[in-house]
Amino acid sequence: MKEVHLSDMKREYEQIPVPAELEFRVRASIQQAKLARKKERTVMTNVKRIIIGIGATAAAFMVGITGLANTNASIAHAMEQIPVLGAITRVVTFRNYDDDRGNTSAHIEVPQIEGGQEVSGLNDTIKAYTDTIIAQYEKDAAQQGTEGHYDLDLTYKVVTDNDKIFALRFDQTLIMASGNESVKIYDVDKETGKIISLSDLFNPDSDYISVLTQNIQQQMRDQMAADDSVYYWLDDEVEDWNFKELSPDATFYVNDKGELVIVFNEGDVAPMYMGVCEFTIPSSVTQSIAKPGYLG
Amino acid sequence: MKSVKLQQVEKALLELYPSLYRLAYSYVHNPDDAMDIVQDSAYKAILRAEDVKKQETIKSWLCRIVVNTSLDALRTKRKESTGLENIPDAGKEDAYEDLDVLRALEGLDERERTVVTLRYFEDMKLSEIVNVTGENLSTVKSILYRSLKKLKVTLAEGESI
Repeated sequence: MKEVHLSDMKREYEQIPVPAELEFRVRASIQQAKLARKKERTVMTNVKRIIIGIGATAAAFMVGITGLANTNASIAHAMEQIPVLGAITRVVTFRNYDDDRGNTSAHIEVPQIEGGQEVSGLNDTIKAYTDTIIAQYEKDAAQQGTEGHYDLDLTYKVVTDNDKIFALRFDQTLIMASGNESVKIYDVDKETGKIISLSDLFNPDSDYISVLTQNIQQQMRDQMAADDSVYYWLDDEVEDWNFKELSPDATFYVNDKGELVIVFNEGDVAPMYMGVCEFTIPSSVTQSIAKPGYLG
Repeated sequence: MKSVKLQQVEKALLELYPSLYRLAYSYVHNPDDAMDIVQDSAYKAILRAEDVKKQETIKSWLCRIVVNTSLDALRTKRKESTGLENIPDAGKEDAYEDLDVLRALEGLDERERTVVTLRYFEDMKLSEIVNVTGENLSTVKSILYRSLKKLKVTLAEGESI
């Protein structure tokens, strides 16, 4: 009979290959568990920010809408006035969408911008968007059946209201087995009522995409170096996933310091557990290439 | 201080996950199941980080979670395959060939396998193994003796129970 030595056995045991993806999955679990811990304490609150900027001169105002997947129900009209945006516009809660099916429930506040002709297109867009969320909720709630919990809460409030900027903040509370977040922000030029894109903020001859891309990549690197639990697709083995260049269609808003904030949906530039990722671009970076008026 | 424990557990998970994986693998013999078990265990560990007791090491605590999760997984599998065969599929869809050591471990029952693996492959102290299995010290010792006998292992110099 062959002699068996423990040291040989140990060597063989240590040769059991550990799949490369395991580290990634462990990190994901850790993040999910941390989220679950937070939820226990407070009830997970995701804060999404929608910024409406009103410039004394040019001013873009931005309406952000946080999209989440779900809700259904009775429509309550609540033409309650909230803030006054100068002489031109105000935001009202156009309606509340409430639903309660026992194990699934939703509360969505749908805002409306009041103002001149210019904003009607914007309101149509907001409505189309919130309708989509509501439809999605109804679909998900129907599929959910009687098992598990699926609760969605979306509210908004004014967090910044100064001469230049008016900020409408959406607080989104989601309780479900696994979360799905997305952010949509409509940026509108206050003067023209036209929805603007990133390129409208910068001088036409500037290479703003490269400037923003490099700054975001640097921020990703710094964050990963500072915190082990942070991971972005930057130098990942899967080349296709890596963040190489910012899209001109990127989601953005302007924060209360007048800084550009780029927002990535869950899964866009990082594993899902990282959630929605936001990068604030310092004014020093955008100063030399920005059109006057939009950014601080 | 709960946050300290949480940090320690997180750090330990990121350090020890290969060990935890091999431990899980020694039960399920299948990379997918073993990864599921480690992931599941990591989740439980973070969730209950405050449960680590002073007198046990984080490693033994994590091993306990992995062992219990593995045993649960095996039990579920057995239930699913009732009437077919009693042995959980031993890496059938697995490109990686189990080495002799794992086949040898097959001859042990679950308790024996746990104790041998932790003692000799993970180099844990008997006192730590006690924390993993919940048995008392003399039971762990006798399980070890019995297992080594079954494995027909020859202790080399410097090796001991």
